[in-house]
Parts: sequence; C-alpha cells; structure tokens
Amino acid sequence: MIMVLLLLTMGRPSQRFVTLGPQQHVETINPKMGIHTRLTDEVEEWKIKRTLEMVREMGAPWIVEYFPWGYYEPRKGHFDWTHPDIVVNHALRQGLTVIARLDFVPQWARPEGTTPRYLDEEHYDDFGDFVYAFVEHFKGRVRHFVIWNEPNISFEWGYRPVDPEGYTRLLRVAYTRAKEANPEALILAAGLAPTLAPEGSEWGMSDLEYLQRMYDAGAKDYFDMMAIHAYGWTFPPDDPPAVDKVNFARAELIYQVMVRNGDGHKKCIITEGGWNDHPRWTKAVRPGQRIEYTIHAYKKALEEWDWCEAVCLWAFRLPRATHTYKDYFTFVTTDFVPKPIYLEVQRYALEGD
Amino acid sequence: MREMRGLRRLAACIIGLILIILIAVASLRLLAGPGGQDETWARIQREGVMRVGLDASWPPFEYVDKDGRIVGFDVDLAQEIGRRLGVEVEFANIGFDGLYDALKSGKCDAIISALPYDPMMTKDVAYSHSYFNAGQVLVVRDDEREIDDENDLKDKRVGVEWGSTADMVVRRLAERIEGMELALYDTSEEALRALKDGEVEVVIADAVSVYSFIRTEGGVKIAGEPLTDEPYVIAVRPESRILLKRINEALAIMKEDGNFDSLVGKWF
Repeated sequence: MIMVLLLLTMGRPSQRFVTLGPQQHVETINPKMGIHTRLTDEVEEWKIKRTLEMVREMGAPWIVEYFPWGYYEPRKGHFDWTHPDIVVNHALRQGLTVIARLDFVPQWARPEGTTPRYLDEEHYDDFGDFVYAFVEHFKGRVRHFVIWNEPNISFEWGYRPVDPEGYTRLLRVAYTRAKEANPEALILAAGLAPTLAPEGSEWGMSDLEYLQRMYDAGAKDYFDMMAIHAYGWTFPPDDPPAVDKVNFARAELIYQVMVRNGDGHKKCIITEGGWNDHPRWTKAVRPGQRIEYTIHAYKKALEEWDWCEAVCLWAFRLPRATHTYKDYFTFVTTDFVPKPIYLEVQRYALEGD
Repeated sequence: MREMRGLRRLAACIIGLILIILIAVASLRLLAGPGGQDETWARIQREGVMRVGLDASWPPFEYVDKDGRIVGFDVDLAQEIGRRLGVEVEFANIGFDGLYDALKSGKCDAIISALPYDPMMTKDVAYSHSYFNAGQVLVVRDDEREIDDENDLKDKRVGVEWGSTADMVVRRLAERIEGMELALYDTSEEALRALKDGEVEVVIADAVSVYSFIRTEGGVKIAGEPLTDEPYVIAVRPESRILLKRINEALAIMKEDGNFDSLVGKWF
C-alpha cells in the first residue's frame, strides 16, 4: 500500500509549503525608513518570508536587495528567475518597495582568475543584456535599479585601478538597456564607498572626486537617482559633513556635487549606511548610541533632507553569523531574535518619539 | 567440523589484525596530515620561528601600545606557546577580515586574535581547544550567595547595557521569568557600578567587560556558568595537524600549571 501511494505521488509537482499570504501594508510614521536585506544566499523560503514580515513589522517600507547577475545567468542568454521571484513576490506581499542592486559578473563573462567584480568593456553589452532581461522580467514589480556597487574602490572594480570614466560607460549601457525594457524604470548610479583615500591611492578614490569625474565623463544623462552609502562610524547623524571626514552627513556632500553639476532636482536614496555596536571594533559606538543615532538618522532624512527619498541602513539580518564585527550591524539575529535596536526602531515607527 | 571452526577463527583473527593496522595507519595520517607530514610544523622546527597573525585593535587581547609595540593577552599567550614549543614567535598585524586569507595563503602559521569559533569555517581551517569564553555572564556582588543561574532571577532587578547583547538576552529571559525587572544603563561599566552600589541585584554582561571591571574596580563576581558561549580559539591550516596538537598540548599544560591564570590575572 505504501509503495502504491509513493508511486502515485511521484512525478506530481511538489507542493509549496510557504504561501505568500494576504496583502499587507507597512504602518509607519516615517515613510522614508528602509533597510538593506540580505536574502541573496538565503535558500529557505520561510526565512525569506519571515525576514520580510519582520521588516514590515518594524515599520520600514523600503528594502534594498542584491541580485547578482552571476547567479541568474549561468550561461549566456539562459536566465533562472526562481529565487529573485520568491524574494520580490514576498516583499511586495508585505507591502515593501524593492530597490534592486545589480552586479556580480558570471564566470563566462570574465577571464579566468578574476573576481566577480571584474568586467572589461568587451562585456559591457553582456551586462546590458542582463539588465534588459532583469528589468523586463520585473516590470510592474520593481522600478528602482542600482547599477554596480562602490566602483570607487579597487576591490569592487575587480582589483583594477578605479576608473570613473569606465564606470560611466557601463552606466550608460545599463541605463539605455533598462529604459528599453521599461521606460518607467529608475536607474540609480552606484553608491560610492565613503573614503578618504589619498590622491593616487591604488585602493580607491575619494567618493566626491569620483562622482565629479563621472559628471565630467557625461554621466548626468544616464542616471535618474543617486545611491549613497552613509556610514556614521563613531559620529552622530548631526556631526557636520567635511571633505576629510567619513560620517553620516557626508551624504550632503554627495548631493552638493550633484547640485554643482545641475542635478539638484534628482533624488537620492541611502542604500547602505548606519552604525555598528561591536563591543571592541574601533569604528563602533555603544549599543545605546547606535539606537539613538539610527532613529535620529531616519528622522533627519524625513525632516531635513527633502532630496533624500529613503534611508536603507545596513543590514537587517545575515543568513549566517560571521562571528566578526559585521554581525553588529544587524537588526535581528540570524535566528530571527529581534535585537533591542529593532524593538526601539519599531517603537519609533509606530509611536514617534 | 572442528577444522572449519578453526579456519573461521583464523580468518577472524586475520581480519581483526588488518582492521587494527588500518586504524593505526589512518590515525597516523590524521596526525600528520594528508601528505603524511605537517609541512608547516617541519618548517617551524627548521627555522625556529612560528608566525602568528593577529589584528592588533582589540584591547586587552591585542593592541598597539603608546610605544608602538603590539601587546595584549593573545600576544603573551602566543609567546608562551612559542616558548613551550621551543620556537620564536613573529607577529603579523593583519586586519581582522584578512586573517583567514593570510592563514590560507601561508602569510602566517596560526591566528591568535580573540578569534571566535566559526562552525562554517571548519572545512577551511582547524581550530584549537577554546582558551577563552567571551559569552554573557551573570554578575553579582561579592557577598551574594543565593544567585547562581537564570532561574534565580525571579523578582530580581537586573541591570544591563542598553541595546547590548545582554539587553537582548534579558528581554528574552523576561518573557518567562516572573517579576524580573530590567534596568538599562549606557554602558556595562555603569551597570556594574550600579550593582556595586546596590541599585540592582544582578548584572548581565559579556565576560571581557566583567573581567576588566573586576580587575579595575572589584566588588563583584561572576555567578554560575555563562548564559551564552562565545569561545575564542586558535586557527591553523587543516593540514597543520602536528602544530595543532602541540598548541593544544601547550594550552592544556598552561591551564594545569597556573600559567594561563597568571595571564588572565595580568590582562583582565
């Protein structure tokens, strides 16, 4: 009898045990609140759903998520959207707006021995094809797309000298193909690493200088919005910005570069940022300070920065603990235990101060 | 019939002997690594130097003092292990994120850097026995005799640093422990001082902060077993079997002969 039942069930499509559930919406007093989720390497669907439920329950309507090209196009022209569909569909069901970051070069599009951040100009069109396919596939579901990540540091540029002109050419290809797929798509220029790298450094270039060189290379026509990375390190959100200082308000300097280049009408989104409360990391603050600074950063964007559409801080939860200071950027543990910062931000989103 | 039984007994003996030999060979290979020898250990012995990677930004475990020297608990620990192994120790100061890569690429022979045990890394490195547990602990006044574990927290006022891991632990405990009252402080030190002054009856904090407070101000003690574990370990390359064995032996002897406690007393 058992064999008969087994034979009858074999070959039938497997039943999904995790359902999308009813449509939800985010309750918050601050519609600019957001968070960077980290679901790229999350295999189990229930964990994806639980993460996004908890983001919604915290009161953050925006998420940034990373969608690596190399995961979804393992061979040229062969796309597998299974995993990103799960992520996006659950996010939308929780009432969240998804900002998709696109990069990570598949092995077939780069030379042997290079990192997934390495993309030479011969393969820009391949990336453009991927952007077209991604934007078209998610038309009606995802509208915001970030092209690449921190190209002003050598690590994110495949350990080559950084190249704002080269990145601008890549941005042009991506922008053009995205608009072909969906004219309503909004293209964000990559969030730049806030860095004080000295002139000529082999490791990176000042974010402010890099952005100006992008403008000089003609980037203005190839992005609709600017992604900004705004880490506070040990400084409070109101610490005044300065060219020689990395703090949260450095975001204002990025915007000033945009204004100087006639782009003041464009909006920015903070797609990474925030504070770390590791007990001994030199760039960390005390956990209580992190709570205060985080809530104040959300408030600052709402009340003072009309050019900033959303603040998506790093990071909601990691799929696995790293056992380093990186674990102390998160809002919930790997096991979904809410940290005090989660509970305090949730209280702010529901009740205000 | 009797001959058959004798043959069977002989066969069983031969199979048993073969199994014993196989186990012995496998054990030797495990000790010596896949190549039959531990090349790292051979080089350390040949050159008389063990290279230790650390990130000197975590006092009191490892940091750069005002004279520019790398000092700390882990530095002394590494020196003592080196002494017991009969070799000099050279330190390579590497950013924490780069420590594992430095080990893999041979830039160092071992990582001794307040390194938490990471189960996900056990395919890539071999870990020593834990030498320090930096988890959350219960702290009470020196004269307290009744509080020994979390079940004793009923109706107690418990101090923690606001937003810390201890705060998270206490909020979870409060869901099941009746009458427990939470008192929040800006730092662990303030919470511990409040314990000394009688404002709270218990504090929960990480072991490193507590040891540091006991050393500098005193008047409090750790009660019972840690509530959570965060073991610090030494990492070597997986094939460095002999080196790992020697490190574990040195750690065990240091704990037996009191040398380890002296180091704890010096730095915490």
